[in-house]
Amino acid sequence: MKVYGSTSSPYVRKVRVAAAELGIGDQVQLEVMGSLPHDPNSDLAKKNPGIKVPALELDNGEFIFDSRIIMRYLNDTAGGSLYPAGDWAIQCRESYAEGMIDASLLVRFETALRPEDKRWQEWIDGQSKKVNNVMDQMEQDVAGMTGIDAAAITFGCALGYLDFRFADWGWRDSRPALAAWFADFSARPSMQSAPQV
Amino acid sequence: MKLLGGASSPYVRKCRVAARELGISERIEEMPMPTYGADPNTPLAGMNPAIRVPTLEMDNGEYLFDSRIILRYLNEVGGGNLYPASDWTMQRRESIAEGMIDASLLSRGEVTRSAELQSKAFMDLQAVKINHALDALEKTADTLERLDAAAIGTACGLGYLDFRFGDWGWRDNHPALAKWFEGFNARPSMQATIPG
Repeated sequence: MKVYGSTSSPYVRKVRVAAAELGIGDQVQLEVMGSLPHDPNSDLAKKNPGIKVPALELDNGEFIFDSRIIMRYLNDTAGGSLYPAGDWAIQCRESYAEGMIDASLLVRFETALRPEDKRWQEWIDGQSKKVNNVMDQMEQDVAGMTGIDAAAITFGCALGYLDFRFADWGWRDSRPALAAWFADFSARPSMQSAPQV
Repeated sequence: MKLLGGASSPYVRKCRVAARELGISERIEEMPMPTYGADPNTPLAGMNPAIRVPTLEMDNGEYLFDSRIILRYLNEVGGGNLYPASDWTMQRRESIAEGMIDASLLSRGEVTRSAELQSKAFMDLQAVKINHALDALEKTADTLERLDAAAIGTACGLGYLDFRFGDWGWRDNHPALAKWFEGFNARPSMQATIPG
């Protein structure tokens, strides 16, 4: 299988970390492909009509996306337990961590890609509020997170992305439990095998 | 259960349509809850850390989100077949529809900015994504006949496009999708949840 995407995308990293944790990292080969600009004739548009990374190409030539569905597919393929049946708490944690990634990306787009005279500070503040609100909840929830599941992988990639793009966010100061959890999780071979650059 | 979210959100509508199709809508109280602007004082912040609708309050008082997970939950509660096991083709189509909704919402957010902060380049990028998704859905329109998560997502995505961008003109070059939507949109579940 091939996963199309960049090494900077947190969504792509989720898939790569999941594959490594599932023990099938060697079966999922990264093919570097950016998602910008959104050219309808680009190679990416031919692979994923949403023109988004990651897109997973199966050995039979079919494609699966987005990252949340790819993770379920890899989990199914490898017989893993990233999504324990009926465990809605894990899926909720995955969901709010995904919301943190989405909001971080919107801040990134607003501050890095949009012309300076068209940036909207209230929008940035609103998205930043979401990011901080999610991390406050993570701080409370990490004590109960012992296994490696979809929530843990999404937490790790969300926090990793924040460090990557917004290194001066200062989220650790008021969230010691989350900082300690992330220090451990980032040291895992799966995270080290998919560095964000 | 309580479903929090306004009638204009396509993500909320997906849940409302699913509940009706699954025959469990009488067990769900629908409560409007706007999110726009991520008001730091919104009670939603204490329910869903990502401050998004829809959020479902379950009978045990716990909260569940987002729409894709609520759909899976309602499907389980209702004993439905919205997510046939290992049907990755269906989930692929669900993802295309979701991407179309995401891009439509970003476009909507852009036009609600004050005029001097709007970016035509940004609007054009989202339009490319929306049109590309419409093209892909047109090719798979024949597979939408089945009532599943992809059909509900596609219908709510198209309904939102009509609601916010009535002059998009997507029907002209997507005849199979237009025909399918005409039929699906007449379903009681859709007629009971018209955005407004």
